[in-house]
Amino acid sequence: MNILGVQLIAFIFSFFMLYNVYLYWKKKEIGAKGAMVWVTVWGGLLFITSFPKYLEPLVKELFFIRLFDLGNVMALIILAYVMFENHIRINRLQKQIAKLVSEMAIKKVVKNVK
Amino acid sequence: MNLTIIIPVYNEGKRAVNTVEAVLKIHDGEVVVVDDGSADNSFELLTKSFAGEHQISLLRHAINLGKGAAMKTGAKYAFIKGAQAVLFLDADGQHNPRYIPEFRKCLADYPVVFGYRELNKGMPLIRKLGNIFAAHLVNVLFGIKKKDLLCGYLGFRKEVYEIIKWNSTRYGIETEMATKVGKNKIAFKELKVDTIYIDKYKGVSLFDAMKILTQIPYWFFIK
Repeated sequence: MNILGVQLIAFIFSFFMLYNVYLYWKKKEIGAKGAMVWVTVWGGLLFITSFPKYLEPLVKELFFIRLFDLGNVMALIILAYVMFENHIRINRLQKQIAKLVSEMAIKKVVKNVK
Repeated sequence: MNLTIIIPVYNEGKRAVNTVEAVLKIHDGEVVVVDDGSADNSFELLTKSFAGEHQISLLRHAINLGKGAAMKTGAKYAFIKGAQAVLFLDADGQHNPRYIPEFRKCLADYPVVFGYRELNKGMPLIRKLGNIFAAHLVNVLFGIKKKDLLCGYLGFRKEVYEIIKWNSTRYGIETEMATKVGKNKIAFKELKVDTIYIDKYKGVSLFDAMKILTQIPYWFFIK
């Protein structure tokens, strides 16, 4: 079996990310549910990279020429979704922090001024 | 009219103290100073300089949120304390407090009063061009003709606060406020003020101006 350079990079990267997930789970920075999701994502990439032939019927079905093209499209879709989710969450957090900081500032003055 | 002066402060040090002192010479009402999480000794200087000064309320953001957020905290506090109108002044001393009585007079007749600078005098070229372009765009989209879109020397009465309340936390507050005044057809007056450009690295940068420009269509369609 010939291993392509891109396969090797994806393989190493998936391993690295799985190790990262394990470390963050051990540090309790992500919960069991979050760890499961990320293990599925990176484990899935590891599996696809190791056995690309399992996806070949899907490549043909979706009219892609190469598995690599399907991979690119899938990666872009996932990235766009993650970016959108992050944007929404960061906005929400910013608003909550601004509200909290403002309320704290007002409370402190109200307490100090007689 | 119970007018409260609001001064948002961020890393202005002694300048903020000088500004507050200058305001106190002219204004005998409440002054709210909001330190927006300054990294320097601005807050300590202000606390030391105005300890026991009942006319002044000093608020502090635990972290830096931006000028818009500091203005919002100041306005919220002022209205809780019974202000009928608020007037914003920059802490770096670029806004001359001698216009406060004129603002007060105008606020008695108009719910919103914007300060405007003579665009030919002392304003850096890039700011001047950006200001003119943005003013035209806002005029076309919101039907509000303003001489100076970016001047932070402005005031409004309590009854319009909920209508023109801004969401911008950093720069762009003045533009957002103007778009809301235009959209809601609120009567306003413009008052000529002189401005001193003290620090060219502070205030609205070119990138801030570009961000503000991209926000204008958003305020038109969404807000």
